[in-house]
Amino acid sequence: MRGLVSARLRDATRLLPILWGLPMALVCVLLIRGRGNEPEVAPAVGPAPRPHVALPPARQTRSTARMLGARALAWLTVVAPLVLWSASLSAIDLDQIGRYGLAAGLPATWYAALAIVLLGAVRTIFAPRLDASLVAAHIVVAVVIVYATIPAVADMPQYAWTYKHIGVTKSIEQLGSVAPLVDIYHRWPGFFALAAAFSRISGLDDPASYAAWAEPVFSLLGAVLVAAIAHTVSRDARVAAVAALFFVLTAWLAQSYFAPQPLAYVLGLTVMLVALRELTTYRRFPKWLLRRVGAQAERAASSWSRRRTLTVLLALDAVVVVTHQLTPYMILLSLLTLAVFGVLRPRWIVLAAAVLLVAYLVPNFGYVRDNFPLFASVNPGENARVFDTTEPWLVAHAGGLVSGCMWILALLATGGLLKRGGGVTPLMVLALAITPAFILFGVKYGGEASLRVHYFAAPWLAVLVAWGLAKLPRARWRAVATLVALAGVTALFLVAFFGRTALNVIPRDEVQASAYFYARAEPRSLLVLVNPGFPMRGSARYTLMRPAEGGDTSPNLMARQNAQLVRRASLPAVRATLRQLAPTGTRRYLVFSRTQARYADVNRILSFAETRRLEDAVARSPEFRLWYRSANTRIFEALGP
Amino acid sequence: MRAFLSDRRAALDAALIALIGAAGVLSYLQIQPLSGLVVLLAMCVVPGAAFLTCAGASDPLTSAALAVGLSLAIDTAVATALAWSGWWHPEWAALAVATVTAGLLLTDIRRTRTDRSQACAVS
Repeated sequence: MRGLVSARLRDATRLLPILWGLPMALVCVLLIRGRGNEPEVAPAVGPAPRPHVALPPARQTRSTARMLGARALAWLTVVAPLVLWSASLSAIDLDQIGRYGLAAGLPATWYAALAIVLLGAVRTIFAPRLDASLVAAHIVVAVVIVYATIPAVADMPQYAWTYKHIGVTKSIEQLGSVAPLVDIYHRWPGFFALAAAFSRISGLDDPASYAAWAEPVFSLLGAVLVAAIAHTVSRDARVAAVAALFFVLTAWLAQSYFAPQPLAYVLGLTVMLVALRELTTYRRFPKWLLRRVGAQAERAASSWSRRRTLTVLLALDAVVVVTHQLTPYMILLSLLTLAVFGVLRPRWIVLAAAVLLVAYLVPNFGYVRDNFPLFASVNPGENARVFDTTEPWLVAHAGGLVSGCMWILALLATGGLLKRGGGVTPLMVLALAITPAFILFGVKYGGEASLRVHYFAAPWLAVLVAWGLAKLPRARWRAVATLVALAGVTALFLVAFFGRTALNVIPRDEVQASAYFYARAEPRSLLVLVNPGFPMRGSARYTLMRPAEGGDTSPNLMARQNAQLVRRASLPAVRATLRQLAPTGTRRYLVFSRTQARYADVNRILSFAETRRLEDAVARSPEFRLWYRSANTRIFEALGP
Repeated sequence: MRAFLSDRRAALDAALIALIGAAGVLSYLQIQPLSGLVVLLAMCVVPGAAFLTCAGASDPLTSAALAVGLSLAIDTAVATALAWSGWWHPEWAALAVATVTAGLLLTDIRRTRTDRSQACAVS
């Protein structure tokens, strides 16, 4: 019987690509078809025309009651998903996560909540009269359902690398200043200073108490900016709402956590919003291109003076420059793209942005060059390399599929918009989506360059896809096609976003072990990981410890030269690596933890068996002593010189 | 219609001033997580919205987005300046920012009321 059921399940799984692919293919066909233009059913935004005929009092009362009833019904798709989501939280068990991560562990009520809110959002967006507050409420609830689930059920903030940001924040709050010699974060302190100020003003002294909630907050702020950009380029509130939904439901890279990147991202989107609103003109656009793609309407008269606009834009860029290392380059490339297109005036703003960037980089360049292999390769193939994992194929590739789908839909949308005389703006937005790919020529960014390309292209892809769908020639297809496309990418997004939950959720005792080390270890001690994945540097006292050379996951045994010997549990190799990492007289500690072992197994660095063999060898060796032990963590101190 | 818009703008300014007041009171009383939420909301919206009262606002969506972006930029710039200078007194800096923003918002309320009374006199 069980065999029969699993055979049926296998058959059903084979059908899934067809069930998923057919509707998506239909959306693609709709996006490129250009015939049969229908007039808009209603103005994109603003109140619907009211009848001027006076109704008798009884009919007026009935009409008002019906209207109130319809409004209450419309809000049901906001309230009901929230209730369902809250009810679903108690059924989520983070200790029982399988190979498909939380995507397979979420209860049916959670999926029902998301489905209802998406249905309600699309219905509201394409209703004859657009209710902005109702649309906004749907988007907020969608963000809450997707991004607040893990913070609501997990003990501690997820992602091991969040903790070093918590440590930097605590150190600035306690020191009252930055310590540029400690690490790169103190050299780009914008986000950490802001978080430290927030901790002090709000009274939430420990950033660990609120860091988990950064993800829904930054996702929501990003959605607002993307919606405003979509509205600016399309002048259609429906495009803005659909773009916000696509942006929120395709952010599979999970970069909205407690870190400088999402803050710089939101600020970078603000820079682009200001540039697109106030500094673009189509007057000097090549005439031959305008003839092919349709005349472009000039934007409305600017509400800001030229001087005010340029001051605001450069001030925003300056804040990004002191907050994050990579984002200012993306802003520079985007401004350069607009200038090359001939739509940015004045063009010297690109030069000014470059000067800001270089002026800040110059005093920090030596440190960056010595500690990070950022500019190691000019080969884009090498910089875009993604490492193999042991995850199920779908989990490993779902994120790439989301991006692939968005690219296909965006290209088709651009084609469709150009075919229908949509002007040059869709081409400009497409160019802005392509621009991030240029960082692959020269920047490795700790092996994350290809992921950042997806990340920085995401807002522009969302705008294009939303624009193409909301401007489909046949009005009745717009809602259906949007719903199908959203459902398609969301299904893949959920697998990508929740598929690695087992690696991302950090057990409380690992955080406590880390806190114990930073509280008890002598100054200048060195904590060495076996693999990435341990919540390091979560305390302000990390600044007293021996600074780690190299990237974020350093020091770790398996990133060193003799990793192959360590893999075979060679203790002399372990000792040699520890000696290499710190001079004689330094107290050295080696930490084994569950999350590290999982990380190593998934990323094919060390299998569980190899990790266990290595730990057994260390535990038996007289050259190490067990210094700390908890359910998921063991810290060994290396004895001798 | 113009009177309605003026009222709406003044109401929004008043709401933002109330938010500043609520953030101040709650950060003193320390009622968590309410204090954290209200302070976060104020930091994400108020300074930028106050700046937009001088710079001129456009449609509501863009105004909201610019308010968020500018607020975060102002907060980050102030916090970074405190950290770089070593004069780490975020409470005093918050008080200064709150005073300036409340002043801008009050000025805007007065301006919208003056505009409204002039519009009434013309009509």
